[in-house]
Order: sequence, then C-alpha cells, then structure tokens
Amino acid sequence: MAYGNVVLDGIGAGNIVLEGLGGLEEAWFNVSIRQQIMGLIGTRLEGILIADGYETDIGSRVYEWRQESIPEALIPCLVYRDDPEESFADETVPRGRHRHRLMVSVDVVALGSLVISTVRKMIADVIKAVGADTTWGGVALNTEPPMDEIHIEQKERKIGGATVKFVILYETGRWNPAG
Amino acid sequence: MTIESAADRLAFLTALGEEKTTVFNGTTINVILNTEFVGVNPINGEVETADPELVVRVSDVSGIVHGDTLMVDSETYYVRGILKVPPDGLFLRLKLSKD
Repeated sequence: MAYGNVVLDGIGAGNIVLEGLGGLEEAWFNVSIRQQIMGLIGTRLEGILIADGYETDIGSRVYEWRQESIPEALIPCLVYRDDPEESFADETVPRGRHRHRLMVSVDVVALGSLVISTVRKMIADVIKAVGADTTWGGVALNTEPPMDEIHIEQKERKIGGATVKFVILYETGRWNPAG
Repeated sequence: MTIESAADRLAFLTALGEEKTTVFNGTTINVILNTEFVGVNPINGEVETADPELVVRVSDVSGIVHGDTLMVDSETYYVRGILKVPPDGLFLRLKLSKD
C-alpha cells in the first residue's frame, strides 16, 4: 500500500494525482461522467472574457444551480445547470454501454438601456464557448447545436435574460455513471 | 356639491410624510414616490428589482406621455406607464423606469 498526498486536479477533472514515494502517479477518481462534464462546463463558461476574444465578460460571474434570487448588484451574471438527462441503450449504442443525452441550460442576465444587444452578445459568447470543443476534452461524444430564448422585463430597470440550451451526448458503461 | 378641491388633493400629497417634488413643464409639483420591491423572471431564477411609481394630481401633469422624463431624488426616470387612480381619476399613478 502506498501513502501520499492527494491533489484534486480541478473540479470534475476526473482524476487525482498521488504524490507517493515513487513520484507522481495518476489514478482515476470515482467521479461520474456527468459531474466531470458539469465541471468542465463551469470552467469553460468562466473563460468568457473580453480579454480572451469574447464580446462580454460574463465569465467573471458564473453560478452553478443558483437558487437564491439575483440582486441587481450581481448583474451581469450567468447561471448554468443540468436539466433532465435521458439514458438509453438501443441498437445504435455499443454492447455493454449506455448512451446519455444530458440537457444543459445556461441563463444569462443583463440590465440597462442596451440590454437586448447585450443579451444577444452573451448568447453568442456562450455558443462560442460551448463550440470551442464539443467533446469536452474527449469526455463526451458530441454536443448538439444549441437553442435559445430571450425574455425582457422592465420595472425600475430594463432587465433581460436568455436561456441557451444544448444537449451533450456521452457514453458510460451499463449502470456505471463513472466510466 | 364638490366634496374635495384641488387644494384637498394637494394636501393628500403633502400630508403623508413621503412627499417628494419633481418638475414637469417647468413647474415644481408635489408627488408621492412608491418604490415596491419586486422580483422578475427573465430567466428561470428570480431577479430582484424595484417597481417605482409616482402618485400625482392629474392637473399637475397635463399632457404627460410615455417617455417623458421626471427627476426625483436626483434620479432621472422615464415614464413607462400612466394609470388613472379610481374611482374619480383625479390622481395618476406614473410607472417609472431608469432605462
């Protein structure tokens, strides 16, 4: 038995590094593929910054599954979550495997007189970020093209939001979410 | 017989301790500013905001239309809703927005 420090290699990266006497050794951590994908999505969305070639800095305020109401001081922001997932094993799926269709929603929120054009820029940024690698580093099979919907409300401020939805296809072993 | 006068209605605006003033067509008028906390749902979650409105005498804002601007407490607001207060319609509620 070897003892050593455990270093978590990022949220949902799916592996740990064992710093044992014999040097670095990588081992699989028992994290579900779904959790790995959601972690990768969060990291990707946090990279939406003007400095990195995007139209907005929406990546500077990213929340996963935020349930608390959003005060104006936290706008603009982005909230992402995993929606229903469908799993199946038909004739198109390799024997001994389950295929999964994970629906992901990304909500973006902006306010102000230019809210409509800002929300459209945010939508474009989310689509660009998702499309940067539709296999999520090889963890998924593919990501299907997105759909989106905009809503605008006006009270004291014009507040606009949009939801971008996309489906990620991935496979696991039968009844084995982690591999 | 008239049971209230314009002066009575002005007294209503100034007697509640929340009165403000604004300028419309070059004239300073008394108003009541109500700012209700509300939630809106442009996405699946709720966003916190306010729903400000002014109560004014109809006679003070003759000709006011959507898009007119009013300054209250050093904030400029656009008029985005004009509603007569029942039953007699002698007061208006003006829905306001900063955008």
